[in-house]
Amino acid sequence: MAINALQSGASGLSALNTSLDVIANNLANLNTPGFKAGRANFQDLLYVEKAQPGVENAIGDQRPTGLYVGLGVKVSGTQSNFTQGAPMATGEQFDLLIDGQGFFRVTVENELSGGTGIAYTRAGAFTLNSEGQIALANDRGRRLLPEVTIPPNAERVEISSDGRILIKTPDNTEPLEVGTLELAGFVNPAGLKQIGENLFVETRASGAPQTGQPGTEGRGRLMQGFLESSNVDPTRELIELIRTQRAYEFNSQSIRAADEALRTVSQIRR
Amino acid sequence: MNYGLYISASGALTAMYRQDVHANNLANLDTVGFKPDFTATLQRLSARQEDGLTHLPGDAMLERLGGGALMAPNRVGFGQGSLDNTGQPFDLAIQGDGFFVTRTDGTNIDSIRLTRDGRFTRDARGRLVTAGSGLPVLDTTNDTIRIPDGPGLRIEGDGSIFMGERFIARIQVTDVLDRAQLTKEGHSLFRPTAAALDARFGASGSVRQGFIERSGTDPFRAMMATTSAGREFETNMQLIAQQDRLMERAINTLGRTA
Repeated sequence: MAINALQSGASGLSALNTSLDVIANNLANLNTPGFKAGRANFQDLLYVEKAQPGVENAIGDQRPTGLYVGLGVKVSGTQSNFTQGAPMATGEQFDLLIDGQGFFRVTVENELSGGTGIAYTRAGAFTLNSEGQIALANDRGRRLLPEVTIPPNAERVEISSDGRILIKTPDNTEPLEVGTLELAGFVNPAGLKQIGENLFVETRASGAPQTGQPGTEGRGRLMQGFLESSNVDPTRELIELIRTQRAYEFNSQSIRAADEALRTVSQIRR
Repeated sequence: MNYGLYISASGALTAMYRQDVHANNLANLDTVGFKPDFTATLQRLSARQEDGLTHLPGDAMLERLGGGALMAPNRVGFGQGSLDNTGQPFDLAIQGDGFFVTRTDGTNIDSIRLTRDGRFTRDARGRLVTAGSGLPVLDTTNDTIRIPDGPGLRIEGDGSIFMGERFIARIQVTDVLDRAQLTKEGHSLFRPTAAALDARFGASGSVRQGFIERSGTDPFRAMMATTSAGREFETNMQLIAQQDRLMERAINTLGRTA
């Protein structure tokens, strides 16, 4: 009945709504360092079989194909795109870019991270907090793990591509190693959960993190003085936006057609 | 009873069914790997002929009219959808004929499903799975594919996965002779019959890494079909109302005893 068409149209509108939300969020984060673009994935919903294939009629012929009506569409999930964002030169000594795979580890509240107390990010805009520890340069000041304390007399901090943190002090001509930065890799980064603030936390789907020095076992290398720009492609997003908007209109039309049919039914008996 | 009433009703029902199918096609305008359904109607024989009850008496005049319209089996339009570049390493599309092979349950051969939706990802165990439902993608030996960590992932046109120069596995891209043997199951999956599964063969289509295949629905055609089915429904309903009025006349005007 027309009710099915109405449902299909409604499922289309609701799925496209989700897609619109995702695109709007991508566009809003066009200039967010380390942001990874998302997309809504659609799947067709179930089918009602009105007649099964292979059923015999009175004279013994088998119906070669079935008769079924689909019931619309659903969002099967959202997926982040973990391709590399373009490097953005800032010259800041605590701005770090991961060239390749991997995430920085920072401390978060236990309730945000499912009890591990660790979140992962690719937005490497760091600074020093009041205790000289390297921390994210935002209003929360989440500390980088493993914790590294830069002595106050450090004139210049150098971070090598394999994560060694070297400082130069006035009373020392040779660079002094004060710690090593580690990166965490995941088997399935798309399974990570986004918690805002450019942070991700591990889930069962992402697998356990494999932590180690940058540049080893497939982990990316570090670039000091650069930030990773958002990997949102505005052209693509706008095309997706147009596609979504038009699909939305088409579905509203099929709702209208189904509505007219239902009205005809209701008016058949004067 | 009024025979035309039932013929009009069958017309209204098939029109409604067409509207449902095309509304579903429109709802899946943005579903990757979706293949639209095409509807057909066929002329229905009278019940006596249809059920083979030729020994029963029939009305020769009415039987020539037939029994109205019936929904014919749907056909799926397997035409190529347009390929869209996403640049993501685990987005695959098939250009030409063929399907990716996945299965919904363990090693059970009956659970094999085919799909054109090549948005894949890796699960927590490193296996190549569908991004929507997490079903494992099978290689040419019907085994799951484990993709190790590391850079340099490359998937060739024949489905072979390379990590740098190292061969990992070859994604199975299969085809069946008779596509009518595939039933849509939702979740972008096609369920093949056992016979079709046994007779499947390597497909001629090639795998394109970093692309997805857009829905095969033609929005204009689907829109036209939904609207015209609505009008056809309306016409049939008006005919029903007309015949209702006719009967009312027969009962209340002609049948009035002075």
